[in-house]
Amino acid sequence: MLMVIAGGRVIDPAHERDAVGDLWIEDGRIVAPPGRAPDARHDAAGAIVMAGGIDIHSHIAGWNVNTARLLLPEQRRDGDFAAAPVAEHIGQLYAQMGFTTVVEPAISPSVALQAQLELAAIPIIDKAILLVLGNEDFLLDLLRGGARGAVVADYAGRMLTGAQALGVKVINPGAAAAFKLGARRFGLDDLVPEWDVSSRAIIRAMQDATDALGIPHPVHLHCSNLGLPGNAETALATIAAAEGRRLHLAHLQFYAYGTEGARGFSSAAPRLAEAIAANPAITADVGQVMFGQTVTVSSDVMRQFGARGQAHPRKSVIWEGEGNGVGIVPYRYRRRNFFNAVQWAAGLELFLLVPDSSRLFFTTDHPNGAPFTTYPELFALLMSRDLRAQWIAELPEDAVAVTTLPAIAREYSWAEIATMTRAAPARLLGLADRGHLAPGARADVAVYRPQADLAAMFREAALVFKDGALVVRDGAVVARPSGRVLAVSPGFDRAIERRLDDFANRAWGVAHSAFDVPAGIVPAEVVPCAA
Amino acid sequence: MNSAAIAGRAAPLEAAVAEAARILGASRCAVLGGMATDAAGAAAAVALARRIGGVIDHRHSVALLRDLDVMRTAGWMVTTPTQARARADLALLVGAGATWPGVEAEPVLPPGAGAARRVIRLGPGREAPPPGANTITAGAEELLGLLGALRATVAGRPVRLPAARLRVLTGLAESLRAARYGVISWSAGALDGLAIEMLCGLIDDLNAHTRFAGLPLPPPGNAAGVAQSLGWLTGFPVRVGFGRGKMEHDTWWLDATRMIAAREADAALWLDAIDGTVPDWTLPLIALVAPGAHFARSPAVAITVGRPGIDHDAVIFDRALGVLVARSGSAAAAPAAAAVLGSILAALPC
Repeated sequence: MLMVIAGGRVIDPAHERDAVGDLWIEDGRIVAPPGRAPDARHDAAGAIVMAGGIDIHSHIAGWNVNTARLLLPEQRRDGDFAAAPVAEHIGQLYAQMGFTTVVEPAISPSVALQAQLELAAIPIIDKAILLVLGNEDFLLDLLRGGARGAVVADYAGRMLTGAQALGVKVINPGAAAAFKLGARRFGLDDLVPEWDVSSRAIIRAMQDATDALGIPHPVHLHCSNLGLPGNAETALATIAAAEGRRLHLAHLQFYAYGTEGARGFSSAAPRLAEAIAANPAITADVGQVMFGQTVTVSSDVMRQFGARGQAHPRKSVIWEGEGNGVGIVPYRYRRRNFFNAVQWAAGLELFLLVPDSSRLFFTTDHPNGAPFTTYPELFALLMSRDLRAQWIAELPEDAVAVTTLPAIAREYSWAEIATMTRAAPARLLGLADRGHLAPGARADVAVYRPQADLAAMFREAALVFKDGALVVRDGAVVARPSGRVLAVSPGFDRAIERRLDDFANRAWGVAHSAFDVPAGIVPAEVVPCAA
Repeated sequence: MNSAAIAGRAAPLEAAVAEAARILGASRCAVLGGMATDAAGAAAAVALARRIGGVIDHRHSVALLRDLDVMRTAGWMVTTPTQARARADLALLVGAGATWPGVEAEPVLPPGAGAARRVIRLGPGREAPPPGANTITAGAEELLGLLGALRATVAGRPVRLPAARLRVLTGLAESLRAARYGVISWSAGALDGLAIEMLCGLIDDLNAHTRFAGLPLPPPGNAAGVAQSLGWLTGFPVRVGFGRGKMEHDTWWLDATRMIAAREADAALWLDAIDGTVPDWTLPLIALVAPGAHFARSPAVAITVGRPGIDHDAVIFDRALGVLVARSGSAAAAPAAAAVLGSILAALPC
């Protein structure tokens, strides 16, 4: 079927297109104007037409997310809980906002199967997992033994394949292993007891492995010392440790803290923004905080153990699994709370002070900074200095005083929004046929109708197409096709499997392949690796 | 192996499915009980319950919810059987049925590696202990008080107990405090909620000084797996109802057995694809059961379904690994529960 989205302002920064025109779709793909009459026509006059949004970091599936659901039944007395919606609602809510691809960024190998089943239950959108590596005893043993890069790459390749993952996530490397051995703090150059491997060495090994395998997405790193005052130093040291090689820093806002001011807690976002600007191989997503009830879900078990005292309501789960494990701590961000207000401002400072919107990504680290359902308000804040001023007026003055936010005038343009949430994420993940609107691209398209209430515009897209099929009209879901799962399929030497099985049989009494996602359970679309 | 019956008479599968759909379609409030099934079966049951406004319960909900209620009121720190096996230098098994696969194995990962695991059993002494285990015998009625005293002793608070008992308890507390990675296991079917909460509090206290984790051993019938599936599909573990146009969860109200006894339910679908158990319910009953099930009285509809991971490929919770795993099965004559549930859904009157 030939279809045209007619007369909208088409914004496609990947091809420097920003002009009123038509967008043609046939058989699920964008096509060049074919010179014949369309079978269907959608009027987009006065509207904004962009590729479907891509969220590179949102916790939407897996043992941690599902534990959050089961931990907080009281949060869904009057309907679903925005911080941990059921699978069906995740797909529908994202689609309503014009997002069509979402990456779940923290799945440990032993629970990959569950995560894939959960993703399969999420309708409409395409999904992928990042696989958490870096704290497994097998890997630490390899690194302690001075394993050559090729062996570590074989290990990573085997694990990615078994889990059907899109890339490698590294979460507070070494800390979860050290926590099992009694440690309560762990920094970039601390050594895991008994294994004598540092966080820095694990990061480097996973960078080497990712490059050797040709994985499009760089190592997606959750640094050490998340949430602690003064941890901007950790982020800066980690950027320096990358030594010019590509590295993605997750939810940077949670590392944007200095120790200035009367309370020893301040925003250090300007320094981090400067460092990002100066290091072109570094990318980051923000992890913006928004006010309200949420639940923090993290595989940084050591950090979550330390955060249990701040739980609201007062209960939490620590689940110590293979590798990283899981920590679930419900939390309420309060507008009048000094620390929460600084966090909110620091996130916005990062958004507004990093000049290059192709290297800074739009996230709330759902649900850790806020549920993804707050995205419309966040877009509005980025696009309107006046709106920010209204919010700032509600914050504690001493919190505002330790940030630079009130002085920042920048307002995001449509093209910058499209770069940050479409073109750049597709490039970062290696999804060649997404995030843009040139002929050949997948026809994932969002159409927004500009209005005074910017948030309302983003909350209810006028039209959303998934693979060329209309799925949302006037903010309402009208069709719910199954989305796909995206995964890499890197080459690796299968000799690693014998070593893995030896280890698993000795440690756990089972073959390592017991944890695999069998082919066919969740058919994946293969994202190509570099040769 | 493929068999179906209507009111005790053999019938073609299609006819049995049609009769099941007729009964459920005509019911005002149907319960889907048993629920001993795989992930696909759980998903198909949710779809069916959503459509007919039914209630989903599991035959081991009582034990399952006893653990979950501790988790979701007080929180907990837990681990997996594989972590426990690989790492723990001390295992404390509390109550009946608290042993776990590999408890007797030698730990190979730090901090437990290099020495045999110390295994201590606390509770009724009827079961054969794992090799090398010390047993501290305590009757079920005594256990809660003893756990309270143990927690107090670990915390250094005075307790009043007979001298011999106090010596044993003090020794146990010292062992716990000396462990580098201890695991405390229990089976919720054998303990009450307060005892489980006391254990979780003890684990919290111990983590102030060393490392400890709980190991709740889930009930059979893939209860933990079904609770996970219902979690991502409905947000709730079991005892989920769709009767009022939204998903609701109530551990008392949506108890299938209670609803049937109180005549709140007027039809039931029982699903046990794992053990083939059958309830003694007398309301119109559709039974989807594993081969070999024995019926004391003929249900309105009986359909034999395949055993997950034996007769067909399935995803179920592996109680030795503590996670969902895929199990392959050989193609058998009996259809998978998910397929039968899907057929019933498709056959419902519009």
